[in-house]
Amino acid sequence: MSVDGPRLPHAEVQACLGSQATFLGGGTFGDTWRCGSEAVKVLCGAASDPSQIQREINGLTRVKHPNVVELYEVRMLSIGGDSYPAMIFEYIAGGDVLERLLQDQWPSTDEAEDFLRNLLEGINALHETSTIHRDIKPANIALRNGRWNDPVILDLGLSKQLDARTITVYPNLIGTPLYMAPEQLRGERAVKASDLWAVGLVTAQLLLREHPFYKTGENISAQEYLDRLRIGPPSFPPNLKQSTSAALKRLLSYVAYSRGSARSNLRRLSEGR
Amino acid sequence: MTDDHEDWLQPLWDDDDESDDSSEVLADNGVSEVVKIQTPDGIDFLIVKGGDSGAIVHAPPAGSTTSPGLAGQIPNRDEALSSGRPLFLFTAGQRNHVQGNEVLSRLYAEHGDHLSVGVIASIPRHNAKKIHDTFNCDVAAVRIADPEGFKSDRGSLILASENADDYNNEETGKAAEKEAKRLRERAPYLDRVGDDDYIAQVLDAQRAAGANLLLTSGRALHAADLRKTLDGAVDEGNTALELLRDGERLALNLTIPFECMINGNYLEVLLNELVEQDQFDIWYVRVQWRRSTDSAQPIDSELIKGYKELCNLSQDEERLLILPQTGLTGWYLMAHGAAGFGTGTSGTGQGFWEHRPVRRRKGATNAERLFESSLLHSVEYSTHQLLETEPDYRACECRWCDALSASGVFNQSIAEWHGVYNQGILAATISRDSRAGGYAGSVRRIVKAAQEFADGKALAGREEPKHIPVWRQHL
Repeated sequence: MSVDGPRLPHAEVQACLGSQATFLGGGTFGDTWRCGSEAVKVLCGAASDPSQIQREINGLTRVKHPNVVELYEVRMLSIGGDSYPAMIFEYIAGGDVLERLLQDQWPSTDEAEDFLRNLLEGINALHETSTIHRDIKPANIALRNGRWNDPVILDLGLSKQLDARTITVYPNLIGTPLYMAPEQLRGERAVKASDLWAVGLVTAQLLLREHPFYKTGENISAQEYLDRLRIGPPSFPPNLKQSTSAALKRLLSYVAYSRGSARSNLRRLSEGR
Repeated sequence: MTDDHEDWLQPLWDDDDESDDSSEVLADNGVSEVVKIQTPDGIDFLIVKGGDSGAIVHAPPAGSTTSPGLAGQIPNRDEALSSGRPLFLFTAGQRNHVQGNEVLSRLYAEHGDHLSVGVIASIPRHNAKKIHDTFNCDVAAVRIADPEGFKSDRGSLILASENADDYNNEETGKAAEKEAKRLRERAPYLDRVGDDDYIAQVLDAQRAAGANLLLTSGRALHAADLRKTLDGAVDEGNTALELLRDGERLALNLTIPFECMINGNYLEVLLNELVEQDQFDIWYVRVQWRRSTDSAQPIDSELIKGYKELCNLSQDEERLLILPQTGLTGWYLMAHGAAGFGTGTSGTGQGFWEHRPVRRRKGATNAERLFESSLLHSVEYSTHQLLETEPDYRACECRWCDALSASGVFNQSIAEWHGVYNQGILAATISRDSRAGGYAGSVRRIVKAAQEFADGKALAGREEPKHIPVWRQHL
């Protein structure tokens, strides 16, 4: 879900963050502002328990990887007389994948292959800290300096709340199931392999220049959509490396374990198989 | 039900260790045999025959003979686990440990370049002396004291009842209760499930036994409640990881009912979880096999298919999969990615079958069966003697076969040691001959040769290696 403007008054946020704070966008749980080299996500959306948030993101501050946005800290901000938890991230200049798709800008095959490998590197770094993102999608992948071969995973931490148990709490999240893995769509708990599905799906979309399982404007039932996922993706461009094609097919396996782990996929890619 | 349909089934109780360990099955006239072995300090001697088999000594015992060759330095646990060589785990049984040590030391001396060696003892089923004797083998780089936690709650396994009232025969019922009591005396943690320190007790029992690869308890999964019991096993594993001391290693120990391996939905839940829980780099997996009166190996194609998925996954994900109590089937599964298997002299050591009471006629004796490597199957001794006359028969030259041939009389113990030794040889062979197609290629060639050897021979009923076609289907 996105909102057109900031939830909190611009002036009050600037009073807290500084006059140079500019609004970057809104999400389910809050608004993100840019303050110099930092991106500040103010959790003013869904009601949040600050201590729970703190617990959930503690581990994320340990993730230091070029393909994962760096979380510096979490602190409480006083804005307009109210107190809000805020996550302070590094700011990634260059926009995100969604923006590029909306502008009908696509990577070359080589760029898409690098995109896949580096996105997997980022996911691997997250998974090594036992963190599951749960909401990998074009809007959550930045392109550092606008380069396709330098994706950076965004929006860490709160995605833990986006699993099947909370869909009933936030039914509007059903609006972004197009990147959810089959098990998430079936209402089962997200697993690391669910992230891998999304990585495969976004990359497949970049290569095919359309969502591999859904055409914009189509009206299909959830079951029909799941049936498509079970069949698997269409053929990839013939100039794609065989190892990348194999990796994408594996990542888009309907059965979670068949996707393997980020680490094993990276290993196979490096071995060219 | 006749006796000759039953004699490869497990006895009412698993191997017990009350039998006399001192009995020797081979007359060696007190003469021992040694092989030179590389050690960190130089060259020592590995005893491969006689009472101290398995020991490394600085000087050969008086009167011993020294065989040619130089055995390589024995790997430590981590080297053995990461070597990529098949891990051959001898499972303690009721026969004497000296022979077990001899089998292992010979295997190591002759095939150590292609094989890692370890031992498994059971904390509930084996007394402290048995475990000590089993572990007292210098070539065993991996020592496992299996807690067999599935005996606590049994899950959805089919095991012998521990309640005397469940038996028609009063004496059998009393024996069952006595054995159940004995298991719990040796493994008090079996009655402490739910205690705050249950997991610590399980680990401590293994430490006290001298294990160098620790396991989680191995409580059984329930098919009907798979998600919950699997979560419980993982939670236990996480706690156990926190309790490890410096230098210790842990394997996630899963005991899986038959249904969970043959039902695609159950298997999917299981394998999803194994991939997800990447904190466990070693899986120790025991699957209960459904009884077959028709084959000494499981021949259920769906079971092999489930195993194959598990093995492939372990290999793809670079986790070490150890399959205790699988014998020859465990050997075969190394073609698909298993890292090692457990075997032993008895049916229990070679398979974790569903329990079925054995009814024997009075005076019935065990069938005289001998393992034929050429067939990958055990046959009646009389069949073996017929096979020996076939032109394409390749005679086994092991010390135990020599003893059988010399006496001309079948001896059950000798036959069993020959069987264990030859499974070790098979494990080494797939490593040695793995250049073309890896372990899978090597196993494929051996299994194909076994099929070709069986073709045209008069092998019917239990003499027929029925598992071979099933194996080939999945290779």
